[in-house]
Amino acid sequence: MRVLGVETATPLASSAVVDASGVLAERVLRGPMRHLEWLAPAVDGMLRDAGLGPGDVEGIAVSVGPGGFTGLRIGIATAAAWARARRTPLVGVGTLEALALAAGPRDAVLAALDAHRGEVAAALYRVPVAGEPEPLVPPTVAPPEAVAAEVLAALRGAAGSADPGPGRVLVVGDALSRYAQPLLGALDGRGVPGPPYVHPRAAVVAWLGRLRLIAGARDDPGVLLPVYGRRPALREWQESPAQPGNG
Amino acid sequence: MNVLGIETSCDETSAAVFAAAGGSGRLLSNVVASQVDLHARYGGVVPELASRRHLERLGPVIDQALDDARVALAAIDAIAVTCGPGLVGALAVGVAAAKATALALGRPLIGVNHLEGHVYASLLHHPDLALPALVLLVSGSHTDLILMAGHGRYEVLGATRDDAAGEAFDKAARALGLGYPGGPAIDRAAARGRAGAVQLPRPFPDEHSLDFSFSGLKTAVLRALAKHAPDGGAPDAAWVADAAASFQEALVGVLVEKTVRAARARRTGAVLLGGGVAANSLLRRRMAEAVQPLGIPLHVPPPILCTDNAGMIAAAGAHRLERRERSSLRLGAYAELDLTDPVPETGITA
Ligand SMILES: [Zn+2]
Repeated sequence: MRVLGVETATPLASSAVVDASGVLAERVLRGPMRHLEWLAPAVDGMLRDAGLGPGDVEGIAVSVGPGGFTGLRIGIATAAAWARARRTPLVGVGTLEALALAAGPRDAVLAALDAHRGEVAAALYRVPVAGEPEPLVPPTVAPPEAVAAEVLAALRGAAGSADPGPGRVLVVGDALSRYAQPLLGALDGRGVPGPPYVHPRAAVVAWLGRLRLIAGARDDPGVLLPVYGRRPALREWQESPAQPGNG
Repeated sequence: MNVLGIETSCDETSAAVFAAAGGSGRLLSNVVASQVDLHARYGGVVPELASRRHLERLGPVIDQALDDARVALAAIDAIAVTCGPGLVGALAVGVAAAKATALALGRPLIGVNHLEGHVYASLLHHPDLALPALVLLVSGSHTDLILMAGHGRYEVLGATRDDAAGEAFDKAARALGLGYPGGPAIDRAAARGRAGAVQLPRPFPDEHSLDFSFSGLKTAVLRALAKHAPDGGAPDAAWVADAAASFQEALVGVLVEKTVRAARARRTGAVLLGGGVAANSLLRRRMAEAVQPLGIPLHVPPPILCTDNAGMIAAAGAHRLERRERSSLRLGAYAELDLTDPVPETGITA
């Protein structure tokens, strides 16, 4: 199955096409936040370069957040409209699970993105050699110390069981550039910063989506919505007219 | 040629199908999902909420428009979408969906100026309009007097220097405790009041200019209210009705007077009224009375075509498509876009 992947939840947006053989093509947004202007021409040019047309896309996977609100909506509106227009199977992929999968196989990967306003969007996964990342702590948006405390609690829970539990936690994502100190500090010496180039790339989104589509997963294009990610899901400040915020 | 229109510039999610035929055509469907209730408790449109709702509603609204028109998406020949002016985050949802549909189906795309859409709302039922025509476009974000010399050829003769007419209605309604949206609320309250019972200025910022200014009128309402209820208490209902009627009369009076003056000066063949405030009953009545002596027709669209809708976008887009204009897939969302500005990423194809 040939799958188009779209990732616009992060500032470094990307699009990709994958099939059983791996990544056929990928494009990354250059320059500042111009997701809307960039995305459709990028997909068009990428498909042409790969010798493909819109009819050759057999499935679509889109990064659904948490991430930047406007970017998320651009990606989802694009993927959903395409899916409707060509009746192409569609599936949403969590931006943090794509980030964890990009880090590679590991017992504990903390995927953490900068959510601004002093918070990170993060989730803890076990990433197997093959297959989907398994969530150990679900996606949350909170200050880095609070996220680290939740991760430690989950690890202790795992250690208290018959299973010895994972040891070190690989921390990846752009939250490292601003919150490495509080995140790693609060992880009690168990955190290891991953390389800074690990990113929720569209190729990984497409790959994870492809696994799900092959397993029969489908999202209705009329129902697929972003994981805006702030906790609680809709905080009052977000909805006040004075602060119509767009993180 | 079947044109799918998409409009998400503010707080209405809309899709429509327009069957274009040689400079004319017919609206096959025009579906509008209003968000007014969502924003009412905030007293105005909250951009972040509007964008969220557009994303949730646009797909089903497009499906409904295709169903109503009995046209399959595969039978759509082109896609027209509002790309500005408006709320950027709201516009982005419609533009992204339009571009993806155009790309996936291999159909032409045309970005449409929202204001031009309002002009074409009046033209829908009068394709053989006598040009040049004078257009008064009045809404929550615009108060423009536009000379339409020909299709796609506009000259802005006057605009508001502060509040738009619809904004002035909202602010006056809020001051009088009449709720949101202000236009219909004032219109209703005014029906029980006596125009002129509350002394308000007629805002003519400059006798010769065709520009408008309404912020002074709003201030005058607040001053009259402070005089009527000096201790900040609730004004009595009869006074509120009088104030609403007086406010409406003053605002409508200025709109009508400047429109007629411009129509005379430029010897236009018709007067068109468009935008959400064009649904105001007093404006429709007073404008008809004032234009009649000029011996030229006044065209006022039905209410569904006055407020934001995709039908007018599809109709305006169809005209541009028939002139071989196309937008590239780089089309963006533009908060500020004058009617006289060229639409970015758009031009005539060879
Ligand atoms: Zn409008």
